[in-house]
Amino acid sequence: MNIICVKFGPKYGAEFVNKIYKDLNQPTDFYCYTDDAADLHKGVNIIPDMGRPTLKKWWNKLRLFDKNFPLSGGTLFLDLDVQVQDPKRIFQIPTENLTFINCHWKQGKLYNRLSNYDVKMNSSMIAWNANDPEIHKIWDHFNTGLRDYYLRKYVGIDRFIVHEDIEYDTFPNTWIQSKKHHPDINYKPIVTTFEELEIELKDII
Amino acid sequence: MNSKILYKALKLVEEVYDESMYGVDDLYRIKDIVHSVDKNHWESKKWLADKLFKLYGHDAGKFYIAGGWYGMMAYQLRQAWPEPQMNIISADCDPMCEEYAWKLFDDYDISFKTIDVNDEQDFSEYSGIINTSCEHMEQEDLISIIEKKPKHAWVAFQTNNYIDLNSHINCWPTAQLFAKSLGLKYTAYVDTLELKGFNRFMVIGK
Repeated sequence: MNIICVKFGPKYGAEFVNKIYKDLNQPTDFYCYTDDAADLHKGVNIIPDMGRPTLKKWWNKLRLFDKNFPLSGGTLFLDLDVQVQDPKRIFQIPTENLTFINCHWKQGKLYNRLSNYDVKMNSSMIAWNANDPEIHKIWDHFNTGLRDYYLRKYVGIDRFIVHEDIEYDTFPNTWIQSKKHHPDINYKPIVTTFEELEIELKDII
Repeated sequence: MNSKILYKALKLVEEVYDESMYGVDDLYRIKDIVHSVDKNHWESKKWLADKLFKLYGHDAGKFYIAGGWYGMMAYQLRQAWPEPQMNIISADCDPMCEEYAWKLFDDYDISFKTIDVNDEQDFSEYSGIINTSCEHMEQEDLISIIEKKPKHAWVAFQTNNYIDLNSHINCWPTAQLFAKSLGLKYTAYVDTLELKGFNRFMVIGK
């Protein structure tokens, strides 16, 4: 299984990538797609910025679904503000289907609205098969004449995925902890996400 | 600002809302349409039309607007060149722009079409290429437009320094740097319009 992180822009430094790499016991198939490879651990496989279309920040995550992206087979993406809690179970995560985190803590009508509103999934961890042509269609769909409109309409890729009717599965709830919404839990998650929180490296060590 | 245009924009907003109930749900179009006729866009595009009019010096020709959005730039050019001997074409790669532009500016003798500017191979018939969406476009595509245009055709480009938006992939810190980046053989006008919270830059030349 490939494990990949995406690092674009100055918000998160190389130390966030290196920490995940080390927490996973330095696997061979660990990649970082980035516009700045400085200070990344020498064991991290670097995939440099693939160029146009120029994308900013988290929108570069969508590039992972490009059929020309240089990975094949089962792949797992982790956001840089994720803390690995159970490295062994990470490698057992199924990658046959496109799978995102279910934000089960988000309840109510708000999240079932149409249009561009908030959604009940997030992309802090994504699993997929990079050989699946259906995955490549996501990138192709993004790169129609509407790409600039999507960048204005959607806050990020989560809303793009949901509101553009991309089919996906979700991980079991007990695999994930949201530090913001579920600070106290009685199970051992695979990862803890810090989405919606401003964090520094010391917060996830 | 023209109350007739604003009224048409309101009716379009109503149409988008109705469509969201029975057909395609795309309520963000409401916000997008409102943005396209707001004071900032109205003034920035009028600024371009006024300055280009002074430099152009003719009442006839053919203007091509790249990234024309819902047609505000075309409308402002038509206000400056009201005679039919000035042909105005507004193009955008988003097909909904053409559909809504026809509804907003149907009676101003403007042609709207859907095409990616990179797919336009021939600019030989145009006397002016206008682009107020440069911050949304790749720099090499702007250069390509300039390389493809006739030698004597005018170029009037705008960008800005509003880097916080994810769709703004080609912002510049100053008008002068933006002008330099375009490498025009003749630069007639470079200036900055100070707007609320950011600056808009314009370069006119050949």
